[in-house]
Amino acid sequence: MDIQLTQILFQIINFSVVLGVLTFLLYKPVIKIFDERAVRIEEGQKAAELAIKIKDELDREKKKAENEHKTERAKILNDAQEEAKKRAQEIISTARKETKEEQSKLLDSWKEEKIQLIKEAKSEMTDAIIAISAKVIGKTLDIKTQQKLIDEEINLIIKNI
Amino acid sequence: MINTLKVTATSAIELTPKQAEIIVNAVEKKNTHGTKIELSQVVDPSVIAGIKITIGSEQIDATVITKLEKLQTQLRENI
Repeated sequence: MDIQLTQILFQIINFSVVLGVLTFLLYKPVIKIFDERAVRIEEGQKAAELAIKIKDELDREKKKAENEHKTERAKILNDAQEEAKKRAQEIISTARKETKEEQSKLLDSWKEEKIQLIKEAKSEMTDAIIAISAKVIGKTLDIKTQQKLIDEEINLIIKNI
Repeated sequence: MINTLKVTATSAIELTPKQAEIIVNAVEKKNTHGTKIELSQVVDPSVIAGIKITIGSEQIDATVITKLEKLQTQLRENI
């Protein structure tokens, strides 16, 4: 087989043309697409990093707000409990005072009532004693004693007339 | 016209004439106006014993019931 120099030359030229065309029409656009994709990826990564950073910041803010909220809530709750304790103490104190006063009043009233009842009982007893005495004296005195009493009283009366 | 002084003697039993006489005499001695004494007797068992003499508007009460009533008043006051 003979090696034809022209043919080799022709093949070299042909290959060079194909290579040039391919480089211009395929390689460069593909490289450009890859570069653009790389830029997009990089931008995406940057955006993602920024988003993560913002998210972290927001999380920190949220946590801080939650802590502040929690502290404030605890303070409000504590204040409310203190106030409630104070109010309860006041109410109990007032109630005790009022109960004591009421007890004292009732005791005084009861004592007065007791004294009054004793007085009434004594008065009734006195009335009964007098009534019984009157009946007993009336039944015990005979005519002779009656006359004697009348004589004695007349003697006393005429001295005073 | 002779004036009359009414004297009332109240007792649980009737007075004896002597007792009535003593009362009349005592009132007459006291009475210097020469008025006539008119004694009326009232028997009231509720006085129990003793005597109550009323001379005009004046009253001398020496009945047992009055004494008991006074005692009752004193006892009530001391309760």
